[in-house]
Amino acid sequence: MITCEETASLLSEKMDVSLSPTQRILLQVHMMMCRSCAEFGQQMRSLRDIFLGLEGASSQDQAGLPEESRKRIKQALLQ
Amino acid sequence: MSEQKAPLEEVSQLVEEHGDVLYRYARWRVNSHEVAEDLVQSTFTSVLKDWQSFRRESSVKTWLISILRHKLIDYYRKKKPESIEDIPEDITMAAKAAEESSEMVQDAESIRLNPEEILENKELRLTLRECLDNLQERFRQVFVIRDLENKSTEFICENLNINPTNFSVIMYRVRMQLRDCFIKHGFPSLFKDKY
Repeated sequence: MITCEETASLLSEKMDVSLSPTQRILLQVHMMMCRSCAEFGQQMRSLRDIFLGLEGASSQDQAGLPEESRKRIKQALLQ
Repeated sequence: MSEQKAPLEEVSQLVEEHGDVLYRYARWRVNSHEVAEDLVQSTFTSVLKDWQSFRRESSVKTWLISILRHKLIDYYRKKKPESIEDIPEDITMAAKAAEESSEMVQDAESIRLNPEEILENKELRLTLRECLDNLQERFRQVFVIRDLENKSTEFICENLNINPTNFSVIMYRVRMQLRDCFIKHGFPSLFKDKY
């Protein structure tokens, strides 16, 4: 059986690329036996959801274009 | 003369109307106010230059964002020669990341992350923004293009000139760091079902 460290790495990899059949089986077997890693996989997915939603949710938290920048940009357009 | 002035006035108006949106978009993706401002400026300069070619087939905002996205990718591409050394290439670095994550995996059982709950909390949102800003610039770029811009692994490897193995190591490390940040800052309020 693969270790928890190897599992964590594969769980991340799985979010970006297709795993090989062997990797998938190794991952599945480990996840069935190890509750921590199953939780960890869930956290990885939640993390992506959080950061995907964070940009929209925090649009009002973040300062807009400062007045000075606005002036500089308009000035640059004149050149 | 009036023909030249009209686009300038229109683009200046766009700076007023859409400057905030573009700046926030850029600032999410680069870890610097100055760079974000430069990217927005460069976007509007291009808009002025290509004013005649804009057919208004899409909304102005969509058009502006699409130009800005190209500017961002260009910026990332240009950054690559000086940043390539930041990418872990040897097994030691990968092993270190695995070792760090090992401790986290052991803690995982007691932590529940609830995206909706987190996103509703302004204080937590600001902290997470800070976590993103604290990432090493190169790592941040890869993460942003992958998870925020939703680009494929192939696109990122080609444009940032990194190999797939390095890409996987970077994404793994970024996710670990961000998760670590959750634990450090948001941990108490994120506990559920914990004794």
